[in-house]
Amino acid sequence: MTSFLQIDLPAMLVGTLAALVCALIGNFLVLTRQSMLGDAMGHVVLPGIVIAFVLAGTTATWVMLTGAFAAALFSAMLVEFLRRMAGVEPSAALGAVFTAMFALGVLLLEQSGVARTTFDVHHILFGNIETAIWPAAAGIRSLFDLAALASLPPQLGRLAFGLVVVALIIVLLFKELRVVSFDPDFARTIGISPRMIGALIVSLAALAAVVSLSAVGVILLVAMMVCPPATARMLTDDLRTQVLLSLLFALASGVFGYAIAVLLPLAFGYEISLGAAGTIAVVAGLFQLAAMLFGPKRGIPRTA
Amino acid sequence: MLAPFPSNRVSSGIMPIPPLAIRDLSVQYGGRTALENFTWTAPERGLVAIVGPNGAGKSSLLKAVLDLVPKAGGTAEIFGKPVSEQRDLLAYVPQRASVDWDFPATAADVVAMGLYRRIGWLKPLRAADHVSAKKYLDMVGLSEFADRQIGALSGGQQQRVFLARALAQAAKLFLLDEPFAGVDAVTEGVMTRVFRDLRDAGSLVIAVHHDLSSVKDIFDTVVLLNREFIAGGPVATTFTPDNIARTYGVPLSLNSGQ
Amino acid sequence: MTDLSPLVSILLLQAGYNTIVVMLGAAALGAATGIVGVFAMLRRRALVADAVAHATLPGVALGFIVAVTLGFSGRSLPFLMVGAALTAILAALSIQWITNRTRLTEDTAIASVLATFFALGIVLLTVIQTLKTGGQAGLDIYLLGATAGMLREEAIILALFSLVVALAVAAIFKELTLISFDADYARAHGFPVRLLDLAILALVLAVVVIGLRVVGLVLIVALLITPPAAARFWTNHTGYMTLISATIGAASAYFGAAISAVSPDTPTGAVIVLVAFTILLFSVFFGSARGIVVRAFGARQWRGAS
Repeated sequence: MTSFLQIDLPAMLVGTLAALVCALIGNFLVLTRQSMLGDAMGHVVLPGIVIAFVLAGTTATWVMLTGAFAAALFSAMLVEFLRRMAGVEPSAALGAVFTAMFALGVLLLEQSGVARTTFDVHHILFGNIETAIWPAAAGIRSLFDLAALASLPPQLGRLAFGLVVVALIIVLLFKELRVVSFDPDFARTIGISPRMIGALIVSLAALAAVVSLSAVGVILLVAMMVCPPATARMLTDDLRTQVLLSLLFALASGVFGYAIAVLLPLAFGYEISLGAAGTIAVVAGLFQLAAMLFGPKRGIPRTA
Repeated sequence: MLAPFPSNRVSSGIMPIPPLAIRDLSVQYGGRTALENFTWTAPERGLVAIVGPNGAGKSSLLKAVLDLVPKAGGTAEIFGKPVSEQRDLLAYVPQRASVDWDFPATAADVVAMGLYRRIGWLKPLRAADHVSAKKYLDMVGLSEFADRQIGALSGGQQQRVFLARALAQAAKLFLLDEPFAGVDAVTEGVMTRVFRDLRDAGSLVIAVHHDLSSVKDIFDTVVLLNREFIAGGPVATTFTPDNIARTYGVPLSLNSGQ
Repeated sequence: MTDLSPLVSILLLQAGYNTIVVMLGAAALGAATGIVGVFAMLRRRALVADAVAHATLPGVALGFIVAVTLGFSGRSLPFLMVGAALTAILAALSIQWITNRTRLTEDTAIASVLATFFALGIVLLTVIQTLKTGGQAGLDIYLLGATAGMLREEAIILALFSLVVALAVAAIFKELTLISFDADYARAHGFPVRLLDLAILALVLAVVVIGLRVVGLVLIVALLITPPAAARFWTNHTGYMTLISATIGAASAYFGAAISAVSPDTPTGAVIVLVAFTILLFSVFFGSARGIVVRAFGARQWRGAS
């Protein structure tokens, strides 16, 4: 029990919270045909986080958030510049910028010497859920002990903060998000600016990327922004139900994925470990595959 | 049936402010002129057809009035003020193909979008709003399709859903882009009836229309344009073979249609 | 990095024979990606290429496991390459299936396939890391690329493969240009558009698998996107654009390999991508056909004349 509280519970919570916050905003990326933006976001915030850490010397939440947002904003401006001022084809502009930003982040990691001490390229790519531990946990009573709870891994607080902000804004602006995603021209005629709501969607995706990146890595972030919403898309025609179902699949991926990562090798008696972030993402992908094969709303084949 | 539409209070003054006044409006797309120095003042109420050949700038005219495309020059005023201050008074029905038909939204969801502006920012929809949305669907004869996904409806039914959304806006000025394009006979009948009800309740309906043969049956006012204003006024006196020939460049028989 | 003299001597091909071969091999790869990238970009396959590249990871890992199981070295190149190609093809087919057979749009298909395949690769890598066998560390280079420790034979194979790709493009150049410009016209006149699109995808697959060793699967897509995007600013002609794109790709890979030869810790892929992006930014401003400076100057001239 104690080892579950010390090792498994915090890791499972980190993975699941990251899955929830990414899936929540992912619904609107999928509906507005910007799924690859989730991927781009995961890549562009890396140099921001590294530079912020080098300048401030701490991984405090606000430092990470500021650095990542600055990087996301800078990248967005760079993409807009390449598209509008220079006339580069949109997806090429996005691709050129996000690869260059990630390359810059990787180089900064190596050159500044923070690699392997605070961040690691592998952790950024693969996720390092396993490092979220709660050494102060001494038993079930620790769950009600404020002093012990205070030593929970810091990523948890960051993720909870991100989840609350994203959820609150989506609940408050649900109908505005719906009308802009469905019919931007109409939204403009009733005084709801598609540009503003679009910027909000991108900002929330950036926030989700920031709180998740150092905790779970790029790949879990992308998988969670796309797979649970895509799974839910196969099951319902109602937006609210879709969002709720995507959260359910994110939760299931987090819990089952982590459990499989820990238990599957044990069950076969192997002394190997499966990366939890990767396993969670694979489980989310398998849910999507099942929904695409058997879901009631998978859609009619398009004859190309 | 049309109780939700308030009577036209604007007309109670001595000099009524026109619902739509366009002066010297020009629209350009990447250097190509779609519309040039268009000037026209709409009547206070009625059913107006905007008629002209393909590429004459009909859709551009509506979009520029609504600020959906930038104006290269000129002004468009809704009841005497810029469109940004008069959003509550107008409703727009776009041409059919412009949305994602796979979107997770039912017919009732789409109609409820017409209520969003009155509900206001940050506030969720309430049960009464859903009831209200169903009522507008009933007006276009689609109450039994309220929970159908929007893409699962026929083309004509989809067009009626968008008309119901416009009705839900309780506007005074309705702008529609080719509402009759490719719809079935039932939908055509429903739309004609709804337009007449709107006119009788004191509203102005302006529709881009492509079928010359039905202009006289549906509309009372016509505007002819081909990149520029050609003629505008009551159908009886303006929709003449002479004006039509000037618009299309060649004499057209009224019965040939399109 | 502070002392530039080693870099200069390497750039001038004064380094050891082995280093020179490796740099030229990288340049050949850059040229091949530059050529293929033109058509990948014109036919909107750039982001598909990204997914396909990420999807090579499970293949590389499986190749390693199979090689070790059969008693070969885990780093044996043929196993890794075949594995990479197989999972990459599976990913390309999955994207097509999702786009054609479900209501999900292409962007969602690309993103979910990318994420799921890459995640599967990560899981397999973590399995490999706990296997009691040598050579696991060698797999790292396929993520972000490395030229350090590259063998002369590998570099030569790289150059030969790149030559084959260039020749293949040259053979069907006018057909590729036609479908990129006007697919409907090409279809109407009996050109096998679907087959040609498949050829582009096959070429993309080929350069991605070849390029894994040098650039790494995370960033290889940049070599397919950035050089053609930069080349577009220097010419309005598809033929010249392809040549310029090949040159920019080759130069990026050459300089990138040289810089990482000086500081062996730096992932080669990251350096190459940054060199290419710098060339893109330079082209955006100073490109002779569509560069911002040239356009501004040209417009003033034109206005002065009228």
